[in-house]
Amino acid sequence: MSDLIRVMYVEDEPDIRAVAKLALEVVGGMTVSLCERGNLAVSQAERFLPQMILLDVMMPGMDGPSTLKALREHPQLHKVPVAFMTAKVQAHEIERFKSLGAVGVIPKPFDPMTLAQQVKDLWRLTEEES
Amino acid sequence: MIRLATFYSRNKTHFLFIEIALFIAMLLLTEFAVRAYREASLQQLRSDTLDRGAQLRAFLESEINQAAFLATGVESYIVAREGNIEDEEIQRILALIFERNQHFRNIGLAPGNQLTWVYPEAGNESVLGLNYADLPEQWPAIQKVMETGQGTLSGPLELVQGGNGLIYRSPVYINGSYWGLLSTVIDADSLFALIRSAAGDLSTRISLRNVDDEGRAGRTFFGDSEYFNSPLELTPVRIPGGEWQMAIQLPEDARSQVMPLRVTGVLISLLIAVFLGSTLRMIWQRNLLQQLDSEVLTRTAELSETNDLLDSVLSAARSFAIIATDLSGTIIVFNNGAERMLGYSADEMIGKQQPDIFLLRDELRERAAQISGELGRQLIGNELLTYRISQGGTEELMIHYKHRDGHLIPVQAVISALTDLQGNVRGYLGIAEDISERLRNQTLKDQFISTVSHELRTPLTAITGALGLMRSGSIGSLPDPVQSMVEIAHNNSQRLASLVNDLLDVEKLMAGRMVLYPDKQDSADLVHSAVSDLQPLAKIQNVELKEDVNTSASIWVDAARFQQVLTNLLSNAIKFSPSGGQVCITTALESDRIRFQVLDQGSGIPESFQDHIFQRFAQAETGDSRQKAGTGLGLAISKELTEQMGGRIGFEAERPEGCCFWVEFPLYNDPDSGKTEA
Repeated sequence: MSDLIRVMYVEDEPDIRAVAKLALEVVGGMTVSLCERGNLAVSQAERFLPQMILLDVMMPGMDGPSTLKALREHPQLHKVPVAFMTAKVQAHEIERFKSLGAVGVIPKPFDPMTLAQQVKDLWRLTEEES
Repeated sequence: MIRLATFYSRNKTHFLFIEIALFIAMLLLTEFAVRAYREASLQQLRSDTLDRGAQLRAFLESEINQAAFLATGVESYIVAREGNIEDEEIQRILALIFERNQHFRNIGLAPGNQLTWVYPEAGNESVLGLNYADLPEQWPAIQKVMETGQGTLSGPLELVQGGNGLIYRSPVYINGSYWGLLSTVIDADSLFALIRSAAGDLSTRISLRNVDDEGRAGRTFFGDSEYFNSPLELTPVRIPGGEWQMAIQLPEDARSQVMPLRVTGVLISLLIAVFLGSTLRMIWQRNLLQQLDSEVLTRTAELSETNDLLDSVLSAARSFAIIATDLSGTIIVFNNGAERMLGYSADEMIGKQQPDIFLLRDELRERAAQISGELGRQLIGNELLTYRISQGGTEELMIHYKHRDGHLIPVQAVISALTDLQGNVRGYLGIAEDISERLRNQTLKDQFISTVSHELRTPLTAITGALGLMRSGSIGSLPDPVQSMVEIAHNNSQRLASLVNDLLDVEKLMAGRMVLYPDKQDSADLVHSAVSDLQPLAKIQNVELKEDVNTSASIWVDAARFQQVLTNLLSNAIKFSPSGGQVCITTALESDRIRFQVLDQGSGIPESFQDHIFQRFAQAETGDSRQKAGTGLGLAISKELTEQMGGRIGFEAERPEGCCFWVEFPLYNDPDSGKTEA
C-alpha cells in the first residue's frame, strides 16, 4: 500500500483553495494541484494524474457533480477516487453524492489540522476496497 | 320562535288540565244546584202538603160539623114543642134534614133513650123500639153524652145494618131536664170516600185515628197506620165531643226526579267546559301569535341589523375572498374580496355550484384520493372541501383558486361550518387570503438564506482554516503576542460559524422546512459519538466528561440531528461547569422509552430563567455582562429537533447543585420482531 501524495483540489474560492493547499501540504505532506473551474479539471487531471481528487459542490459553470460525471467518463481518470468538500452535510446528501460515485464527503468548514488525515482516511478506504 | 313553539306544545296539555278542572268544577256546581233544588222543592212540597192537609182537615171538620149542625135543627124543633112531637111533622122534618146531607144514613130520635123515630124507616125497621140501655156496646158512650150534655161523635164502627158509620149523638134537654137522644148515623164509607177522593185530588196522603179522652192514640180507621210512625205533621181533627188525629205524609213520589236534571247538568257542564276551554285556548293562541309576531318582528329587526353589519364587514374585507355555500355546495355569499380576487361578480356567482368554477380539478382529485384513502369511500363534489369540517372544527388549506381569466392564485383558505342556533351544520364558509405576495417573500427569504448560507460560510471557512493553520504553528511559529491574538481570532471565527449554522437551523425549523432522515440508531453509539466530539472542548475547559451508558436500546431518530441535540446539551454543561468539575451523561431505561440525562456541577439555572429557557435567543446572562459564548439558540433548536423527532426535552429544576437536562425518546419498536428492542 503506497502513500497518498498527489491530490487535486477543484474549488472556485481562491482563499479556501489556498488554506486547503497549505493544510494538506504542510500538515499532510502531500503535493496539491489546484484547479479553479470544474470544466478545467479533466484536462488538468490528465496532466497531473492525481491519486485522489477533491471537488467543491457549488461552483459557477460546471458544478461538482457534473465534474465528477466527466471524470467518471474519462478512460484514464475514471478510477481515481473523488471526494466532495461541501457545507451541505445532510445525511441524505452524503448518500446522494456517494451514489454518484464519490468515496465520501468532507464537511466545510474543515479543520485545517485534521483535513489531511480525513482525506487520507477516505483514500485508504478505497485502496482497501480495490 | 322554536322556543315559543315548544312552549305552546307543552301548554296544550295544560289546557286539557284546565278543561278537565273546569268540567269537574262545573259538575260539583251542578250537583250542588241539584241538591239545593231538591231541598227547595222538598221544602215546597212539605209546605204544599201541609196546606193540603189543612184543607183536608177543614173539609173533614166541615162535613162532620154540618151533620152536627143539621141535628141541632131537630133539637130546636123538640125543644120548641117541649117534647110533644107530632109523628107526621117529625117525619117531614127528619126527611127534610136527611135530604140536606148526602152522608146521612139515618136519623133517629130516642125519647127516654128508646129509639122511636127513624128516618128513613125503610131498611131500619129492625132498630125501631130499641132501648139504648139494652145495647152494652153503645150504652157507655150514651151515658157519657148524657153526663156531659154535649153532642158527641163516635166511631167509625160497624153498623148493625151493615157498613161503617159515624154516630153523632146529641142529648136533648127540655127545661133543663134530659128528654132523650138525637142520633145521626153518618155513612163513614161515603164520607171517607169523599175525603179519599179529595186527598187524591190534592195528591196528599193522610191517615186518621181516634184519640181517647186521655189523649191516647186509638185505632187507625183511615189510611195507612204507618203514616203515624214518621208523619210530616200530626194534626188534631176537632169533632164534636172529642178529636181525631190526622197524619199528613208527603206524596209517594216526594223524592223529586233529579236524575234528568243531573244528566242535563253534566251535559251543560261538559259543554261549558269545552266552550270555556276552547275560548281560553283561542285567546291564549291569539296572544301567543301576537307574541310570536312581535318576537318575529324584533328578531327580524335584529337580523336585519346583523345582516347590515355582516354585509358591511363582508364588503370591508376586501383582501379576503369570503365565500359561503349551503350544504349542497351552492354559493350563498360571495363578497367584494372574492369578486376582486376571482374576477366574477357576486350576482353571477350566487346560486351556482362551487367546485367547478374556481377550484382546480387536479387539486380536488388529489384531495379526493387522499381523503377517500383515509376514509375508505369515495367523496364527491363539495364534500371534498367540507368532509373534515363536517367532522367538527375548521380546516386550513393551501390551495389555488382560478381567476376568471385562467391565472392561478395561491390562497390560504380557512374552511369552517356554518351552524344554526341548534348547532346543525347549514353550510360552509371559506375565507381565503391571496398569499401570492407571501410566497414571493418566502422565495426571496429562501434565496437570502441560501445566499447567507453559502456566501457567509465560504469566507468563514477560509478565515477559520487559515487561523487554524497559523495557531497550530505548522506553517511557522509566531511571537507570543501574535499567537494569542491568532487564538482569539480563531475562537471567534468558530463562534461566528456556529452562529451562522444555528441561524440557518432555526430558520428551517421555524418554517417547518427542516428535513429529517430518521433511522434506527443505537443509543449507546449515539452517546459515545457525542462524548468523543466534545472531549477536546472538555479538555480545554478542564472538565471531566464521563459517559455512563449500559444499554443497547434502539431509537428512531436522525442521527446527525440527535447528535446536535446531545452535543448542545453537553457543550452547555461543559461551558457552565467550574474548572475541575465533572459532566456526566447517563441513560435511564423505562418500559417504552429511554431518557438521556446530562448532569453538571455548574451553578444551576436561575429561577427567573427557567420559564423561557427553551425560547429563542434565551440566555441567562443578557446584555454586556455575558461571560459565556453562545447565540442563545442552542436549546431552542434542541427542543424543536427533539420534538420533531417525536421526543421530549426538559430539565430538573429542583436540584441541590448543578443542573440536569434530559431528552427522552420512545424505544424503537422493530416491526419485524414485533417487540421493543432494549
